[in-house]
Amino acid sequence: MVHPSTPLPISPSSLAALPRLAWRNLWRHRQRTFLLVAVVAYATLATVLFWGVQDGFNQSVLNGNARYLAAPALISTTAYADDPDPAQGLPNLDFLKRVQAVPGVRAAVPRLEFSVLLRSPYTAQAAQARGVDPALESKVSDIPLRIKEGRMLERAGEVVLGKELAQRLDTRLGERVVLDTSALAGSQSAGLRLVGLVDSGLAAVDSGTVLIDLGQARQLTGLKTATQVALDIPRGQEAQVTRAVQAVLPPGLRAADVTQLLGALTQTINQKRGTIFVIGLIFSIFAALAVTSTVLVSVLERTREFGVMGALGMSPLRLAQMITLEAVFATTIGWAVGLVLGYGLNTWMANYNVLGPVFAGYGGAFQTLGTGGEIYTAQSPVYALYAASTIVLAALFSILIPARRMLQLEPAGALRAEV
Amino acid sequence: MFNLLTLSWRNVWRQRGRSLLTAGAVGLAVFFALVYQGLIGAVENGMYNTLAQAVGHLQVRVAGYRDKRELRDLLIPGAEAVKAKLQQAQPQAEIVVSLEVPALLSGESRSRGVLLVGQEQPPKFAQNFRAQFLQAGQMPTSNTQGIALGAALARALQVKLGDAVYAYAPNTQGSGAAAYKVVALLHFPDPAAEGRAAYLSLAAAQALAAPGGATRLELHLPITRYSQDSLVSALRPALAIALGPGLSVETWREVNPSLAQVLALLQPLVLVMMLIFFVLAGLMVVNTVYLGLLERTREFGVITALGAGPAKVTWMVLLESLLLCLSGAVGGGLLGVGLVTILSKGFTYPGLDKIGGTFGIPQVLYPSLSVWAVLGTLLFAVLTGLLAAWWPARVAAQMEPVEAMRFNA
Amino acid sequence: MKGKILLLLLGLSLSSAASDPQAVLKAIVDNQRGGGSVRATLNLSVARTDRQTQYVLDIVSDGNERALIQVKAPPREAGQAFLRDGDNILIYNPTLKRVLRLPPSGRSDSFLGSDLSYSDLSGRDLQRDYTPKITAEDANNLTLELTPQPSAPTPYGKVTIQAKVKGYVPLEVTFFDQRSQAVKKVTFAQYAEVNGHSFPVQTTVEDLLHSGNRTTLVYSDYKFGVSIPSGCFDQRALVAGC
Repeated sequence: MVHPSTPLPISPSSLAALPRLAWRNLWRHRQRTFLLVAVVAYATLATVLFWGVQDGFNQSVLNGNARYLAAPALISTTAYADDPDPAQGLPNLDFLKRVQAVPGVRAAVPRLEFSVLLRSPYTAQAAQARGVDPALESKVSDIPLRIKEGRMLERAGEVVLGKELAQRLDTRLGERVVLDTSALAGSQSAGLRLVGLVDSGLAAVDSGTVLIDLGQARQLTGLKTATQVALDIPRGQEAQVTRAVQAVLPPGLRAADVTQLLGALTQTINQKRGTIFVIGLIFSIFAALAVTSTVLVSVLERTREFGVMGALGMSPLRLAQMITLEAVFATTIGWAVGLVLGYGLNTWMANYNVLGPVFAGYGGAFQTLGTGGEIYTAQSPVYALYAASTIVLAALFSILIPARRMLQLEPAGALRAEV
Repeated sequence: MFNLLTLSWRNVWRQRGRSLLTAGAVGLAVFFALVYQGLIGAVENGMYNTLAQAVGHLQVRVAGYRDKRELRDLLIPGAEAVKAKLQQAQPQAEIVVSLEVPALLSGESRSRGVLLVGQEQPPKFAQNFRAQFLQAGQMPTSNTQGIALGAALARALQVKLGDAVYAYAPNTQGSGAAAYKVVALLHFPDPAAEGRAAYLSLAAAQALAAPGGATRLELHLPITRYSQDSLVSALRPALAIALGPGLSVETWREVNPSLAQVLALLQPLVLVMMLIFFVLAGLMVVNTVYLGLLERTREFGVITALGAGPAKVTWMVLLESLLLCLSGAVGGGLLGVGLVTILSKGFTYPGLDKIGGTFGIPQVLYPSLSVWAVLGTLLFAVLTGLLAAWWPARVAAQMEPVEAMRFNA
Repeated sequence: MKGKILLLLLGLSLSSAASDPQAVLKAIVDNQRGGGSVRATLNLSVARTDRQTQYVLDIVSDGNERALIQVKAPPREAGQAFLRDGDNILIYNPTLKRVLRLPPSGRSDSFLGSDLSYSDLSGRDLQRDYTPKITAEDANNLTLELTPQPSAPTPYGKVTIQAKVKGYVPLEVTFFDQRSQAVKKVTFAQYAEVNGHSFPVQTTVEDLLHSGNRTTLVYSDYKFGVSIPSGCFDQRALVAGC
């Protein structure tokens, strides 16, 4: 027995010394600490990556679809949303300069969409044609990048069709198709030479794409301006930049971003997220239990050691506080390590197309989602919170049980304890 | 000398708290792994059910229908008799009868070419259809001249609920033209589909274009699991023979290959999610088993000092861990399989029916587990546990007894 | 181009001889127009491999941009009417008691289930879309080959017209796709002398891609060059006739 007046190497009664003691304990039991840190770090890393990949995958699907079916953001008249017809086209394009000056807008490209009938010698198909500026369209759309046969259109009199659509018309590259339409200019027709076939894997694109020259579209419809202006906005900034664009638009015009343009798809994805959330929740609960069991077993192992410390004059309350601190330190380190690794990996996969080729291994199936072979993870500070909630839950479990045990500890019994 | 099994058995009971903890951890890992797999299976089954429900597990049409354009050529000869034959072959299946009529649909000022779909479906399907697609109004019933339009189509025709639309389907055997009241607006995830969607009652469509006619019969089998899908392809040849030539019988996959691809997409995601989970489960087992043995290094030193060879000590520890892991795994496994079995009859949770509207999210989830998943999970847990036990046991056994007794983890 | 057929029907006549192909084609086109206005009854017979349908139609045309077609028989279809005014096509349906406007996407739909489409009711000029060349000529017959002009709104790769040298009486028009495969053949028979032109009373349209699909049109009670009040081409006439 040590005499009470003799100063201990570490004074157990001083509250300030407790963190130091706990910290030193972490280093004394390196293996134990390592395992605890590892499990917490892994749970954190997995949570961050799980949501990063999940959200990123959905975002990639949304962005991919936007770049095929619409654009990252579109400006049109408010009436156009209810009645997508050239009659509701833009009154003028004077606002273009102002929109281009908005930070984050990399390009603003006019488009003219109108419904047409395409005819071949064999059959006819109704479709929606998109009049585009051949040089600028690739800035706001991935369709020009998916021309697998032939080339992008260069001038009036040429047309690019989705592969499925061309197949249904039984039209081949170099042949002429007839386009009929009826808009502001009355009934108009044009013979167009098929110069390119789009093969994106996305059914809506491959069976629906009709690209013609913007000038020719204006002439055929009688609309001098455009039905929409498509904007190129850096990935992830769509909503914010779209709001800024809206602020410089004249009244009667509306700027809509990806999520608004593809409302139904967004809704579907959000609902899918609901189910995934249940799976994520189960994972989190299990992660918390895994951390708890690790803390629990390492505390149980140390009953003898705690007995010694109790005998040395450390009160059960102090002991419990010390264990709590140890657990808090270890889990915090684990959480930090997990966050650094998780966000590090996430950032890497958010900036480089790491996942795309991995998923591409599953063949054409992924193409049907319209990701266009590029899948990036998403980044959000919320993931750290998700991970933290797991850890806090675990810490609570693991502190409550062993700490309560400590409070009931009898030094003599503990010294004998075999557990 | 030492009877290893008795010794291990006694050890297990001597340290009841620790044993319970180790076995409990393994049991929890197994339990969660099974429930987790069951839920992932439920998501997969859910998508499968939604996809299959959209087109039917099997679909009967006129042979070569893809190349035919005229309604007359697309009508199933003796549709009622074919339906009866189908019902006879598969008494427990549900049959949806559809008549698709290419028609010109006009509002007051605009008109569009559409494919009018007249449908007669069992109440369960009608309810699902409403839940998934109905945005406003009520679906048309068989005794009214009501029509349900995609919201985008209604906008294009410039009509609202309650307005009249006029269908023109010339060169058919029905009335060829009819006026309908817009009674419902539908919302589809695919904007192009929404721009063409027009639904009538089967009776109304038949009156318009083909009395007693049908272009498509969907056979919905009473299956709820993706693993039962092999039944569908197995059934097809027999049905094709029963129905005779002139008709094509296609599985949901053949009807809509791109939908089938969506299911294939799930596989890599499921693999990734399983991998993430199993690493965590492995860590949990390793931590509890390993840490539980670490502290006992001193005890192993004593046993070695009493004359047991290092190999014996290693075996004793392994045997003890096997007992713990196995009992934990079996316990957790029973609980897990039990829970999944109870849930597999279909379960829902509050709010699921509300958000369950769209694509891919069923209102009732059917978790399912394969025998291989259960066996694999058990094996994984036990092997991981043994591996985690083997290392400290070997280290302790190879120490000098004195060294081991002085060991402080 | 399908569009030619009804124009041919609605007043085809060929007269003046010309030696260069442009002039020959111009003569054909001029003669088509030259027939001017017409009132006639048309028997439309639609043959498919397994069935045949007969329609009786009343036709009024100003020989130019406007035409009114009313279905008289069979009883199931009677009362329907079609009005072409320039590029617009209106449809009257007696069941609906309404006039419907055909959208552009409906133009290629089959007219009364025949091998003609609605867009054939509002055809364009052969002369405007094609460059003609005489490829064969003997004492009796000549063959005119029409090549589409660049960007002409025709899906065909080539059109050949067989005609008698004397009076440029049309015998046969064949439409080829852009792979030199014949897809449609129009043959003429039973010529009647009308205002000095040889007018083919019977026209047969044959779908060469679907054998057995054939549409035959036979004119009767035709009166050419009659004056037609413009009231025949409004919506009231569509409902009530004229």
